Amino acid sequence: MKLPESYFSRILLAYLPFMVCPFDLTRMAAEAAWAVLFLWITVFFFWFTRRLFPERLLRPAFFLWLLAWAQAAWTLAKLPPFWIVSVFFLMPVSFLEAQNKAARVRVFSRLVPRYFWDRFLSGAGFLCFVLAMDLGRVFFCGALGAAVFAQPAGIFLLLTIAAVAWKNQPFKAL
Amino acid sequence: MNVKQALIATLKYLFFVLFLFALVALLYVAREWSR
Repeated sequence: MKLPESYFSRILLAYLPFMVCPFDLTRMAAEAAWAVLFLWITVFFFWFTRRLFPERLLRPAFFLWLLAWAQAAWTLAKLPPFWIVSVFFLMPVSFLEAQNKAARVRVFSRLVPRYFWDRFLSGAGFLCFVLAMDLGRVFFCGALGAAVFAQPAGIFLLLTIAAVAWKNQPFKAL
Repeated sequence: MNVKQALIATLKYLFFVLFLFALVALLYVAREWSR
């Protein structure tokens, strides 16, 4: 499977695990915050240690790291076990690719803040997206009483119906 | 491959083994704390 390159489609993919958990707003925000925090921890960890791994074991190490932390957070914090999927989808596509050899970047070079700033923004964007979707859910389901918004996926159902109707609109007279 | 390169490769594999141990330790700690 080829992962989408664009940031917004990856955010949508990363939102998939949240769609099946109709938690309340606080729990949802805490889960998203933990996923984003773990994304930053992972990026930070592998930025500094990827040169210490044997090259062909870097990808297995990355996946073992994700699996072990998914299991640990599952047992410790009672998160749903697939929270790690959002972290995986939020990772940049080129992360750990073989042709991206780790350059000899000094620790205090100017590249480091820029790289981390990008990752920081992608995490913060995902957090805002989850919060916006869930605030919308609370508003439409609680205040307006539309039962289709009781599930987080409800808004996507409506968006899909709207998109299909838009694409298949009847012939317009010129 | 000279001695220095071989040494570096060995150290890298040792680091990977250390990393695996750390992950197993993490799982163990998580299991003990959740009791």
